[in-house]
Amino acid sequence: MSQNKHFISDEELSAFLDEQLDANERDRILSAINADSHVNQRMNELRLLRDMVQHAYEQPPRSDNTKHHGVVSGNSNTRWAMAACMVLCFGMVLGWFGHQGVTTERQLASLSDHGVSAQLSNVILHLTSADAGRINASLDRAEQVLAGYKTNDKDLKLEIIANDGGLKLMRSGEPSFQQRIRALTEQYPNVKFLACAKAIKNLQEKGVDVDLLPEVEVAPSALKQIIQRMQQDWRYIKA
Amino acid sequence: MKLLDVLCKGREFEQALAKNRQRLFRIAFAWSHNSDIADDLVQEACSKALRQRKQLRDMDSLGPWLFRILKNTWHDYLRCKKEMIEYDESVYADEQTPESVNSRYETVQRVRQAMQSLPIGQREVLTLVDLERCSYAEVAEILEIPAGTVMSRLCRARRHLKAILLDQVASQEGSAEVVKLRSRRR
Repeated sequence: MSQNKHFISDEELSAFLDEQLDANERDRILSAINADSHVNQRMNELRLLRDMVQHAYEQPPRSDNTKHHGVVSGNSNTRWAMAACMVLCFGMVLGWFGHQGVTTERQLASLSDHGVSAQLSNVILHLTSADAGRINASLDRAEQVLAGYKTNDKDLKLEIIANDGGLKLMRSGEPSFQQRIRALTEQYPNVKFLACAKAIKNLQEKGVDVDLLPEVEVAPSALKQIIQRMQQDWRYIKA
Repeated sequence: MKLLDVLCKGREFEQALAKNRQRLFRIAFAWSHNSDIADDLVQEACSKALRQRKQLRDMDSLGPWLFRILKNTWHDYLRCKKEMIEYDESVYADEQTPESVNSRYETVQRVRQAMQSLPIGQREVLTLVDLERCSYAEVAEILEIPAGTVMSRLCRARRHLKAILLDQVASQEGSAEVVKLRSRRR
């Protein structure tokens, strides 16, 4: 089909991701991303990989090295074990995707502004932040997108998946979110709310009782669900 | 006055160096995957930076300058260990620690292991671009390689990571299994 017309090399996609292109080149690649689901998927995979790498080194383990001279390290088993314990402590606090990443606002905005007339692409929206303002802003945009597609009689599936702080949206005891989720699921049968089972388990292990809203389903793993959807040509957007 | 200027500049340099220490450590760890070695590398790089500070003409380019010193220190270390081609990947051999049951820890380790499986040149480029958000030109300057090499190493690194981290997971996962916990109440 339009594969040749929109052929974008890996080097070009990487340069686009890393903001190394001039305006004309960016325009060309943006057009290809919007027009070709395969290019779009490759772009999303690159973004996801970058998020994963950034997360993996967000909190490197501190060294217990006290000698502070020379470069060669001696027997470090004990120190490594202590550093690993520190990683555990950080890891318990940090979520898998608990960092700033792809901007939801811009991508969702582009979907609501241009997406209806452009190529149809299902969307998985990833919520990691417990910030109410951020959650509401994401839901506002998601609602705009859903309304736009409904008005144009287009079929779009939207999954909103939460882990880490994003689980706040989907738990009982948050009346404002509860009403929003209920209203959205009643109005749009094509929207689905998912909570990450691993994130729930982590909270439960910390003694936190996780009571999800009845509209919320559980996915075994947010990461796997996202990868699965991306393999199915869904668009991944991170809040 | 001159003496005062010199003292102020020295203090400014040391403060800037201290501010950059954490960034240097993160990159050193991403290259070596050993916190002790990373700490030593940073310590050594900072010592060199202090000794060579007169070579830095513009404080705005302190970051790339420090990373270049760190890269040279890292390569010196690799030469000493004769691991430039075959880097020892046994650091993660004893992974059966209590914390490995934590899934997020496992995921972080999986990404780090994938990074460690990259050739050193690709790992250096990818970490500077993804973690430090360096431009390709800055990476070329830091690593003292052509910009074209930066791009090709970066692409190869990302292809490799994709194959390990995304393609394998997706193929193992099969169809997305979504478990319904509760029936919908309307």
